Amino acid sequence: MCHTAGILPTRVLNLARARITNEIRRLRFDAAEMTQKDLADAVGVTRQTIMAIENAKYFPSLELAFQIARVFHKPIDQVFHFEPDAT
Amino acid sequence: MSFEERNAVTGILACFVTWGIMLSVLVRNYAAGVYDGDAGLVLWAQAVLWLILIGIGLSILGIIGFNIAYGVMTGEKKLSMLADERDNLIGLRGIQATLFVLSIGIITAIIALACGVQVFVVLNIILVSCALSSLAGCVTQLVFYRRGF
Repeated sequence: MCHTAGILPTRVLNLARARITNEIRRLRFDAAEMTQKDLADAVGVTRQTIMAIENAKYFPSLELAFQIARVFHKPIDQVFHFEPDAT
Repeated sequence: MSFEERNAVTGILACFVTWGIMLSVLVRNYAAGVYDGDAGLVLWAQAVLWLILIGIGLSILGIIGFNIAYGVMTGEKKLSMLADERDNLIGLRGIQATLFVLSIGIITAIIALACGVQVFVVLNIILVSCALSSLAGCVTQLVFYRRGF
């Protein structure tokens, strides 16, 4: 157990360990090699944001996550995966 | 590089140029004794106001120039000016850093005033804290853009 247990609230500890991974790169490839720019235009964000999401440097809002899943006609849990114990 | 990220880079450059000019003018005037006497604070304020206007103009020119240069270097014909949720979040972090540094500067100025330091020096402390806070905001934004958010 982490030595900070008991000092930090449980919710904070869980968030610190939690990671969200995604299948966007593979799904883009499967969708006729859709470019990051195409996906960005489809959901109304910049290409840099799509790149950051793919590289797990940015975790999108729930709304954006749903929009991305909708572009690929997939349920959100097939695009994004929640891994609470990634560290 | 997104539009907001380019703005952060331009902001850092504009900070150095603008505040460099501002501080050099003020220090030169101070050394020449321009701010001595009763009208010293009035002259100081007038100089700062002019320099702020010049700084705003330089910043706008810097943003335009940097975007043109970026477009030429990358070959992008139509540069996007879109700001999305990531830009907004990073922008908020930048504002947090700006306010943090600015509040430290203002508290320092108040402490200096309480310790009997001259008003002229206190005003310059506030001016320098404005410069540092502006720089801190832009650097914070750039760090989040590069490191990830």
